[in-house]
Amino acid sequence: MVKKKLIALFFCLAALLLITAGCIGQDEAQAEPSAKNISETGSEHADVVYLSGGDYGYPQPFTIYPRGPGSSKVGMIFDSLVERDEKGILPWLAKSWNVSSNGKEYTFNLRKGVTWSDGVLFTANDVKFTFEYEQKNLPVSGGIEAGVVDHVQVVDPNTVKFVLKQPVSTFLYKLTGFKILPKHIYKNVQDPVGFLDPKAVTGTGPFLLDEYNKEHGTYRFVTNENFWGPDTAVKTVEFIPVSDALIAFEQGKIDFTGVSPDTLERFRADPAIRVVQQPAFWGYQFYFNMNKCPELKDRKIRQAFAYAIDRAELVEKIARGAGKPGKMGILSEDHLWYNPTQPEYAYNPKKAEALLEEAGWLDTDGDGIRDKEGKKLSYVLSLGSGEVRIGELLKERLKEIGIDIQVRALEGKSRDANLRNGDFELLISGFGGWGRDADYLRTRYCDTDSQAGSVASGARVFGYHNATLNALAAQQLQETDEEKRKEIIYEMQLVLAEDVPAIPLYYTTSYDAWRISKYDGWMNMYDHHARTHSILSYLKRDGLAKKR
Amino acid sequence: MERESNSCTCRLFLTLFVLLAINFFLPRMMPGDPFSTTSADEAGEEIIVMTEEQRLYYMHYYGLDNPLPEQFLMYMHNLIKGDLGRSIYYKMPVKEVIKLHLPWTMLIVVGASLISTSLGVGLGTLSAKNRKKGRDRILMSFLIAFAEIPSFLLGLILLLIFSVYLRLFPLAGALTPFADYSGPAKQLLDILYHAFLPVLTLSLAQLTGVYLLTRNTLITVTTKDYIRTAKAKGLGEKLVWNRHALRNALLPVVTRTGFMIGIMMGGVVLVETVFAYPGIGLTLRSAVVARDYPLIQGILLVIAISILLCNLLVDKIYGKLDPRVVI
Repeated sequence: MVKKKLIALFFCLAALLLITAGCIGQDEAQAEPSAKNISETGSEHADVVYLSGGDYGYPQPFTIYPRGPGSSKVGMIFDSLVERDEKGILPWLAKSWNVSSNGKEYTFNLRKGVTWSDGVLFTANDVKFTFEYEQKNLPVSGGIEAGVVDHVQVVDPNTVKFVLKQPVSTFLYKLTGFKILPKHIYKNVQDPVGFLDPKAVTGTGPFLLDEYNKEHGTYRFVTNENFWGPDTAVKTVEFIPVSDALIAFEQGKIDFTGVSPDTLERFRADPAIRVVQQPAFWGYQFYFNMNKCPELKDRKIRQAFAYAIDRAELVEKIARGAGKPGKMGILSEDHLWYNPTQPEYAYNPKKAEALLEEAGWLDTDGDGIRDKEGKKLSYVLSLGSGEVRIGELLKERLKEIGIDIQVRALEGKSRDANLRNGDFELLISGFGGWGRDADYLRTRYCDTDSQAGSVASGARVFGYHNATLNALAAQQLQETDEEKRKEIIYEMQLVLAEDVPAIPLYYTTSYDAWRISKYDGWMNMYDHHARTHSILSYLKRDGLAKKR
Repeated sequence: MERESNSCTCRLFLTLFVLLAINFFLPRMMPGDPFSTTSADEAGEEIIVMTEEQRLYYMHYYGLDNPLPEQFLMYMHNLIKGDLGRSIYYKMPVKEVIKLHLPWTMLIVVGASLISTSLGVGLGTLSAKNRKKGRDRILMSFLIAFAEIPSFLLGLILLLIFSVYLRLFPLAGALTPFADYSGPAKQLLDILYHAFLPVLTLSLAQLTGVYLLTRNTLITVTTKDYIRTAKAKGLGEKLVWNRHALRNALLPVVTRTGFMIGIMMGGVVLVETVFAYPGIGLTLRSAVVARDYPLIQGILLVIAISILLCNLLVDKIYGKLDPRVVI
């Protein structure tokens, strides 16, 4: 009897589900926004913008996750002393600043009358506190690494001075990520990693965290009415979870999405949708392990790799056009300080073979693989499971010039562990940050500093040493004159392009698409590929934040 | 009797200890650590690459720089106090992370088990009654072909049909984001509405197994002497099927359902990924990717315990269904 009842109940439940599905589905379909009033320029204002969500942690500097866009959410609530726009660094909480002639003292004049979202006045003490607090409790992102700043001095409530241990040309750039915390709240917090209280997200920035739901990965940011700066152009920003951003965009559930090259034409044909390519600031790097394979210390072999790998083909076949071939000077064409006159390595297997022959590598036993003194040019190429197709193409191309490659796909963390410990022969790793301050040419390719700095992007190369490059890198780090520093960076690119310590395979230039009738104010910071990550994308572009 | 139960308890504790040890050491034997990420998993993904200074700081913060045996003792010590530790990735106590995500998985797993079992038994009975007739043949070949579709593919197909083209169901999630419910009934409807496709996918994936088991045991049972006796007594067709055949045939089905819940707890990862459903499977996946040791331990422990509980429950129900079994 009980069994019968139970079965009946299940069927009732199933029926109920079907019925509710029908009802709610229709409701939603009606609620969908219709695309009306499409203008050429698009809307400069929106009450709510919906973006693709996901859980990236509670938006304070100590609790965001190391994967995904957590730090950009921190940036909606917390301000830094200086901010980034399309062209460069601009004043933010700091109205202006002076750098002493020796490049070691940075004095910031802070904006007056700025308040925290709980009404407490913001002062220079908050800045000093944040620095000292984050030396003891390292944040996930935005901290200033030890050894840069000697001490911070509060001159008066609106003036703060950073005294550096030695001149560091990237200091202002480092400050763009350094979010100021409220002293009156954090001074009582012993363990900020466990600080998930609503008070933890008290900031001076343009938005307040209205709602965060960890399990569903939703965030709602609303305008901070007491924000000191430009008005918000988007009043409310909601991050909602989607399983497929493209479909959610087509259904009008989100207002901004990435578009894959296959679906590009469909969106391009629609005048209501703007499709723009991202700058090339995310890329794949091909690593040589010169410690494990000493013959790779001969740069002729590395140059041969560069000539043999058809990077345009990778862009064509793997990125399906949405990318730019890697430059041997490392910086991508879209980088602010890209040197356009550098040795080019267009696909040229003949030249690659000539270089290998010059270096004494010949196929003496006729097996198609070049060898010298009993050693064969045969390598294992480690890569992540998502990069197998890149590996297979490289294998084909390198086979043409007599280099044998076995592709070994690894799970992400295992590959990273191998990269970290130098336990590989050749390796591919993909990462962002190629648009950042060019100081990463130092942290990635020089063997002077044992510790990678915080502007680092990508892991260091293995077994590469070039004294000239090291000297140039040290020089640019001390150089406070922008123009002179740029010249040094240009020179570093020439050295790198000649030496090929690693091969950037290609930089991705994915497509973004958005409905212009909904909101059209999206912008890119000069050093970053994602438009939704810049705070200026959500603000009116006048006054301080005026378009340059 | 006394000694026997003592040795039983002993065995249970030994099993638990081995389980905990595996839970502890296995994740730590994977290459890498939670803080040494340098590469993104897919093109365009943002990652924060930690400096060596940051890495050492966090290794120390979470006590991962202590020798492994010491960490293990610490883990056992905390576990006895009921403390599962704090998630490295989510920065929250593991207990809370599990508390947030487990109910969603329970909902779809239990829902799917109930549906697949009842539907499977129903169809199995239908097939057995019409054995070797057209209806049985069609059902059987259809369901067997169906079983060959992997659950994630099935999920994708359902998602495409119902959510993308027909727009009847949501694309992702377990609730409408930021919904303001007028009452608990509305909220319940919303939850069921979001759970529908994941539950359907899981149910369909399990259906064939239940169906085949029911059909085959029923067919075996109906050849037994006592069925012939029952029929010979002049009992009605319905009574023979329900009271005599089905009740006996149901025994293995009940056992299977119990095990199935356990297996599904582990296998739910793929389905939750397809529907971006915030359950424990999706959380486990991200915990493994992030090498979040405390969270991996916690979730594996919960899964192990729920499998043990399901087995216990099966034993109890079995006793009710089959009076010959004494527990």
